[in-house]
Amino acid sequence: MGVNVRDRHVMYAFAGCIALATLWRRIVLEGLASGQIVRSPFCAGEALALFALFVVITRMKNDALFTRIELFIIAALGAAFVLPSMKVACVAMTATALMFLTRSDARLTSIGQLLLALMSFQYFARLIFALIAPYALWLETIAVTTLLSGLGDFSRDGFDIVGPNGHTIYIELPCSAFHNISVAVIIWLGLIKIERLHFVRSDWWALAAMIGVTILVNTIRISLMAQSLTMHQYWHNGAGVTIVTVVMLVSVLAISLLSRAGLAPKLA
Amino acid sequence: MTAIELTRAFALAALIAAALAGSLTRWESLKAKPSRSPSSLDALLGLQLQDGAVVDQVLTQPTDGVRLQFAECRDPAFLFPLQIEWVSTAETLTRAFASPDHKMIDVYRGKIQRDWRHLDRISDYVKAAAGSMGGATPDADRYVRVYFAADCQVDERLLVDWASRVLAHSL
Repeated sequence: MGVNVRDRHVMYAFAGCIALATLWRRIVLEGLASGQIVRSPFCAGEALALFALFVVITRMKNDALFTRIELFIIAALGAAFVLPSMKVACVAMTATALMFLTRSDARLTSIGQLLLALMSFQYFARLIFALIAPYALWLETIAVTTLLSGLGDFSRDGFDIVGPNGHTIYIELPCSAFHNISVAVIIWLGLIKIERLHFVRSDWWALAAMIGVTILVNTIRISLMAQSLTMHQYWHNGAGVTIVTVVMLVSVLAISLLSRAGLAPKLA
Repeated sequence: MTAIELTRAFALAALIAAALAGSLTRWESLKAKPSRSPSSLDALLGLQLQDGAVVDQVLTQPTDGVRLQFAECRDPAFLFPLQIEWVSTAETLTRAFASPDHKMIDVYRGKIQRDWRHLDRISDYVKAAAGSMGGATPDADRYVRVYFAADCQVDERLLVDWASRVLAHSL
């Protein structure tokens, strides 16, 4: 008795290639280079999106959704994952995503959205942020100085935040709240797609709340770093980093759960 | 077996083969990659570079960098390896060093860059990354900012050589 190969089996294999390329880069290349095998927010965001991808593929069940041409295209694009380059993998993911986004089936559209999110998370989000960084960091510096103005004689000099004791800090891209927004967005999308295929209005409010909380928590963190050298070390390199990461992830998950509670059918 | 079933089986086999081959190429490329010790600008201290230049101090303020004494000039040069997308650090360096007494030059991928603004940096980085789709882009995301006395005449090839040595020892 032969095993019937379904479209979802093909997509499981494709998603496996994506998981290999993504996790290899994050865990092996960047993880080993930074000395941290798991870099919590990034791994959490991407792992969740990958999990959502597998969940959506499971929803394809035994349905035949692809034509022969599409199956050949998917097989050909899979060859991109043979190369160790993440850039080439992203090209294959983008092409597949664009192909799926033109389809009316909600499952394929959702897979396309998740692929685009994963690819954007790797490159486009970073590129866009790099382009707007001079303005984003300037705004963030003003936000931190404004928050600190009630706590003492803090002042701003260009990108520098100067404390009353002379302790000076500046915000660079890796510490910026905008950097963490992409993590919040990919978690938001992953959680929605695990639950359902369509967006509802409250999803957009939840996204806005997640972005707001991310910016707020990071602004508070930078304000704490501006207090003194000891505080800077604690919140920049010490246990404070873990605290901030956990607070951000829990906040994002809590907002997601609260927005779903609002969707639940009410008993009369 | 119908034609569509055969195509599915072929696609599945091709993707599994791609995943297995991809695991192998990644593993091989990792083995081929030379291991680097973490942040080792300290290792440059006392190092003799081309043309008798010597690293006489490793700096941590305003950011990580080195001070270089060299024959052509009485005053030292300062070299700071920076990430290409960094904004505030570059700005802080400018305010710390920018004066009529100092010349500033950026060195990116073996080339001298003058008046190299943020958008130029990002644009050059995108070009470098896009130009090497299949392979690694060594040091495409980093450059070295150099400050030296305005009255000094320094050979540009020396600047490029010093910058590449400093970059090789930075994270």
